[in-house]
Amino acid sequence: MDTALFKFINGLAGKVPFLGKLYSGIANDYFLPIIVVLILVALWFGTRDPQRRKKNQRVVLIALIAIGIANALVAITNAFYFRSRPFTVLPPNQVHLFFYRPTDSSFPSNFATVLFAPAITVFMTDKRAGIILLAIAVIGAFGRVFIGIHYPSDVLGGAVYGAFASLVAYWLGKLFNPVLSWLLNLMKTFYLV
Amino acid sequence: MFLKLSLAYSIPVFLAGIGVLQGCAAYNGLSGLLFSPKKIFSYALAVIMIGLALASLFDWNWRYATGIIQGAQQAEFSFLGILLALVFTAILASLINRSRFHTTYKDAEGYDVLRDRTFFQAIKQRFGRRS
Repeated sequence: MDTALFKFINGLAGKVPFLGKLYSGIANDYFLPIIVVLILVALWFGTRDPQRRKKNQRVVLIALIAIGIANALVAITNAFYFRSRPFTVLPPNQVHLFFYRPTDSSFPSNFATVLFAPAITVFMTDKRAGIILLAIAVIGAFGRVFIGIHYPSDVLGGAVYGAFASLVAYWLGKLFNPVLSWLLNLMKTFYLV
Repeated sequence: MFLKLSLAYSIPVFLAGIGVLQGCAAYNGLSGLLFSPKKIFSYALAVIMIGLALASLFDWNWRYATGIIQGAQQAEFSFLGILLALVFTAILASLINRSRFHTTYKDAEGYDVLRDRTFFQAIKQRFGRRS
């Protein structure tokens, strides 16, 4: 089922090579993650309402924690489990590869994990920004399958890892609320909050 | 090669960071962070800088077919790029606006003080209060 779905999605890229090329830019390792970072910066500095700003700045810090946890979860998984990439398993004529050949484990998609972790974290506080970040995460996750470097279950796994990291980060944020408040107050001293 | 890749990644992040800060400062009325009193200039600068930076990251794989920056380093460079953008913005805007604001400051806290004074003026004011 996973392979069939991969072949279907990746096959679409094969039919329209222009889209494959376009997606190799959109879903590369840097383009969408930087957009996410810029949105987090915008949430930090671009919120007019002081009450909402307070919430947003706290959630940006929690989102950064979530990204850290998500990376750690992926690293731990990769230490015990390795899944080969689709282009190494399937015959070359069944994969339309629009990307370089990553050598790390296919599952979970680190890319999807890192995009979903802040998206879900922000969504819990700011629905509008959260939906934008979730849309970016979905586009990115789809793109990784489309260009032939992940199975659908890899990016789905990444989304689950991201959601889990987000929940853990939220819990940690509540547990260490005084530390976050102290950090925000320290930043306020230097006009950063 | 690593230095080349690091710069190829960090410079667009730095530029995009400046762009986002100019856009946010204009939207949020933080005149002390703006490079120009005209908001339209700040928005235009934001669009140009973010656009250039994203275009440069978009075609990464076509320029560096095998050039990879590992996730952890990517996070470090992103943080550094944004931090440098913030420092650069604070310094340049303080220099540009040094004679623009008067000393009749309104009560405010956090970065809201940058609505009517520059970063340098705000730091100087805080330091002056303590001494």
